[in-house]
Amino acid sequence: MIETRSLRKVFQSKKKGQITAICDLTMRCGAGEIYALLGPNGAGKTTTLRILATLMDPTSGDARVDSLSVVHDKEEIRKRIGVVSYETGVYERMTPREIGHYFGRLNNMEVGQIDHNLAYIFALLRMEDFADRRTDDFSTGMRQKTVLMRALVTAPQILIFDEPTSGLDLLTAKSVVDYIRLLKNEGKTILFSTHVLWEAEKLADRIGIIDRGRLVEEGTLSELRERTGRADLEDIFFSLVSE
Amino acid sequence: MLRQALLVYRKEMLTMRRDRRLIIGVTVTSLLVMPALMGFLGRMTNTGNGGPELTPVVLGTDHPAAVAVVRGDPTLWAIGATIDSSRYPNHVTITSDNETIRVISDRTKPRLWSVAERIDASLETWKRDRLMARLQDLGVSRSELDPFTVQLQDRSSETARGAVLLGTLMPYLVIVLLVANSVRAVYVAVGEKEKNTLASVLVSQVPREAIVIGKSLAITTFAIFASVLLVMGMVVFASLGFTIAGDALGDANFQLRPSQVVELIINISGLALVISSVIMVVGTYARTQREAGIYTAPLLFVSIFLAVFSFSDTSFSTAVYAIPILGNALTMKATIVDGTGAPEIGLVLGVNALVFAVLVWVSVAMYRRETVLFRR
Repeated sequence: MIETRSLRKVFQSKKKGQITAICDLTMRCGAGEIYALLGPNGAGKTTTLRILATLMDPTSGDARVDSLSVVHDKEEIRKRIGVVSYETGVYERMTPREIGHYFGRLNNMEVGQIDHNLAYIFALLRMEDFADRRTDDFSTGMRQKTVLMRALVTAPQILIFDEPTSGLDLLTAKSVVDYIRLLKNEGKTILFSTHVLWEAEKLADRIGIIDRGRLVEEGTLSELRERTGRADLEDIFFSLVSE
Repeated sequence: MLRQALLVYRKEMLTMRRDRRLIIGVTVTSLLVMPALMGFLGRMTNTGNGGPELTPVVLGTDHPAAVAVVRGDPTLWAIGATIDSSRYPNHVTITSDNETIRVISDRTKPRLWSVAERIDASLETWKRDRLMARLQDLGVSRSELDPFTVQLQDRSSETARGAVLLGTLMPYLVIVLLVANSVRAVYVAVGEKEKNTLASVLVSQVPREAIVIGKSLAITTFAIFASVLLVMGMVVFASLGFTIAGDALGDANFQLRPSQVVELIINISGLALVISSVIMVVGTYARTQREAGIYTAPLLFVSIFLAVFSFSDTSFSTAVYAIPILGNALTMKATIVDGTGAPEIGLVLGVNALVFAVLVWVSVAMYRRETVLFRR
């Protein structure tokens, strides 16, 4: 389970003074659920996910991952999560298999367990052909699969994806979406942010719409339809964000 | 934690080994370019010092002393006063009237001025010889005229002279090489941020301390490896008959005992740890390699400034040895020159360990600051 209560994040900028990235954000993603965080650029999605991934501390409020505090239980949370970001890079002079082993070992896994997990992930993501090739000349799709593999090698129960299909072609994006769906079937809890509304529509059990650091609406797709009186998620999104 | 630091270290070493541009760059620079440059400089020094370069002397007088001195010196080339001397910008002129012989030269040209001083000394000797010959003709004995001679003698051995030269040059070279090569490995620290791989490491279970120590050790290893490669390049170059430092080394003879070598290795390792931890701090703070390069440039200047003290003959107080880099330079020199364990080596290594620990702590603290990690 992932939840935030009155979460607030303020950045200090020498040029712009105080910038409030998140303001009183309260949301909840239940265990085994897929939660999509929608919002325009600068809405606070990435900051929210970074706080939940223990990369940043909140200015105030509370955020919990698997009932653990993101401020006080960072180490424990890191044992439970896998994080993928659209801007995450890969080590260019290593192969996906080497990267998988590196992160597996960093997370205190046994070599045999890493090999077992990698074999499963490589097959699932269709990475066998390039699993032992250095990533220097990989396409964007191959890189993104490598990033996914890196996050999943530890078989985490909770996954945090920041725009996981950003910059991918349609075919690769579809394979990532299919994979996320498969992860849900394995009982994983998944929180992801996206700009692509059809992904949220297809994948999410619940959707949160965030704008200027505030959660403006949250619920299942049918609940959002009911509350806004609009059928299409795109219409719902624009009605809430533009208001 | 140490196991994870070792994992980070091994990964960084693997990445560096596979960086073809880095390896080729270091190998070519260390084994060919630098030794060749120093060999070239050495050769130039040889030519400058020992070459049979003639100095034109405009003889504007027929005074027998001037004529005898100029003709008696094979490095002087007498040209007549009627020849256009502007064709020879580096010439010395000798003129005379009644009782004065003037040797005219240019003090802004050191070589030309030293020729003039030599002519002046030769004229004085000529005058003295003539005077003594006349006095002897008048019945004054040689022993009365010249009761004693003065000889300046060097009591140092070739080995000692070699040790002083090596002790003067080596700390300087080692420090400059270590800093320059550590700077090349700065991407070990800054690369994760630049290539957006840092977040994935930070959300893993590896402690920040393990990341910093692993990376610092990788920078240290690379810097030592590159420096050793350069020394090997110079040795190979010298064994092929090329002079690396020209005549500057004279008849010096270098010999290091195994105990001295061990002490030097320990000293250099301490120094390398300090430098790599500084590079680590800089690389952690910087956003890009370019930015890191801006911050590391002053480090090179400060290191060169401190290293230059190894050229000094002054004896420093113990407190000076507590200054990192400078302490290493001075103890390195003491190890080579005195041939015994430098008494301050414990202090220097202690300071190295302390500085390394403090800088690792600073890097770790920076790894915990989101304003550093996500600096825009």
